[in-house]
Amino acid sequence: MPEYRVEAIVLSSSSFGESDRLVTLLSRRRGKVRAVARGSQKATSKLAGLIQPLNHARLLLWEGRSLDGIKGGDLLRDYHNLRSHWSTLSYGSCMAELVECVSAEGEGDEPLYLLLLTCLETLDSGIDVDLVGLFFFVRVLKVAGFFPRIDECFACGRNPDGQVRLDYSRGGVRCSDCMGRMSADGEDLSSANLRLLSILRDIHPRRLARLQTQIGLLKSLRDIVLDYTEYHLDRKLNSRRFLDILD
Amino acid sequence: MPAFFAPSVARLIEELCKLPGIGPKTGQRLAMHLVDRPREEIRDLADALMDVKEKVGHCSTCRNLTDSDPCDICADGSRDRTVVCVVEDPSDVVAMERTRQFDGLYHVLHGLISPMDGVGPEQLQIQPLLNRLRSDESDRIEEVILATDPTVEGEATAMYLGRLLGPLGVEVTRIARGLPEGGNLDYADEATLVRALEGRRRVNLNSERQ
Repeated sequence: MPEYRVEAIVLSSSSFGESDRLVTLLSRRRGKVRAVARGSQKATSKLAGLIQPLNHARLLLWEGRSLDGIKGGDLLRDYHNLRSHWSTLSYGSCMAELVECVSAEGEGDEPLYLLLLTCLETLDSGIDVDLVGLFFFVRVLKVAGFFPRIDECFACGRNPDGQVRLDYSRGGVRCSDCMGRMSADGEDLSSANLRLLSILRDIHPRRLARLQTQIGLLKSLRDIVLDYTEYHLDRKLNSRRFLDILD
Repeated sequence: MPAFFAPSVARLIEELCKLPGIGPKTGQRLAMHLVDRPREEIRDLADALMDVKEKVGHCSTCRNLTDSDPCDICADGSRDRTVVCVVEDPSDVVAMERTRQFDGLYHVLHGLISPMDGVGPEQLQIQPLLNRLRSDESDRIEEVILATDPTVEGEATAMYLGRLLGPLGVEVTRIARGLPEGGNLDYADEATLVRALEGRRRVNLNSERQ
C-alpha cells in the first residue's frame, strides 16, 4: 500500500471498533485527514501516546481504500502544560473542534495550520488564556474567510463611531445612525469591543503578551465572536460550554 | 438484504446488527448459527438476556452494575472503607479486581468528561460521589484514587474531580503512568517515556533483605 508522511496536529480521536481509534488530523500540506490507528486502544500500543488530541506529530500513514491508516511517527510536542490545566485544555479543545469544522479534507490550508500551532504553543507557554483563545477565534474567522466588515457601516459606508450592531447574516456592522432596521440575528458591539476586535484581527501573535485588556471585555467579545461563528457554521460547538465551567 | 431471508430471520439479523461491532455479515453469520442451535440452548440465551435486563441495576453506593443492592464489593465488610477508587466504567472495576492488590471500594462514573463530544460533568455519576463523601460515611473515606484513563478525556475528568474533591478534606491521588510491564523502552513513545521519567521512584535499597 502506498505510504506518505505528514506533519500534523491531532484534532480528535474516538473509539473505533474493538481496539482501534479513528483519528482526525490537521496536516500542513493535505488539510484535514481522517485515519485509523489500529490497535491503539491497547495498553501496549506504540500509537496510543502519539494520537492523543492536540499532539503535534510527524506521522507515517498508509493509503487505504476508504480510510487511511497510521503506521507510526514521532511526537514533536504534546503540550503537557496545556493539558494540565482545565482552562487551557478547554480552550485547546474548542480550538480543535472549530478547526475540524472549518477545514476541508484533502485541501492543504497552511495559514490555518500555522494559526492553530502558534496558538497551542502560546497556550502551553502560559500567556493569558482568555486573550489567546479570543485571538484564535477572531483569526479563524479571517483565515476561513468570514470575518465581518467592521471598518465601515455596511448600510451607509461611514466609519462606525460609538456603539454598533454586528449583523450576523450580513457579515458586517451597522452604525448607530443606521440601527433602525435591525436584523434578528445580531449583537450590539461597544466601541471598546469593536476596537479590540480590530486589534486582534491585525496584531502579530508575538505582540499578544503586551496587549493590556480587561477580562470582562475579553469574555463579552469572545461570546459575540463565537455566536457569530456558530451562526455561520450553522452548528453549536460542543466544547464551548466548557470554557467557563470552573470559573 | 433482509428480503432474501424469512421475515423472522431478517428480524433477528436486524436486532443483532444493533450490537456494537456487529455488521451485516457478522449479523447474518450469528443468526444462521442461532437458527441451527437446539431449542434449549436458545431458550437459555433468551433467559440470560431477560435476566440481565430485569435483575441488573446500579449499586446505590458505588453505581457499579449489580443484581443486589448494595453490590458485593460495597457489602463486603472486610474491605478497606477508607479508600475509594474512581473508575470510568464497570469493566474497569473488573480490571482492578483482577490485580488482587486493591481491597478498597469503588465509584463508577459511567463515562468521562469530553469537551469535544459535549459530555459534561453533569452527565456522569459525580453527584453520588460527592454525596458519598459528604454523608456519614465520609469521616471514614480518607483517600480517593482517580483511576481514569491516561487520555485527554481521562485527564480532564481527573482534573475536574481533583478541583472538586480537594476542598472536601480527603486526599486525592492519581494512578501512576509510564511503561507497561514487560514493555521495551526502545518501543515506548515519547509521551509515555516523559511521564515515566516524571513518575520515577527511588530504588528501595533494603529490597534484598525483605
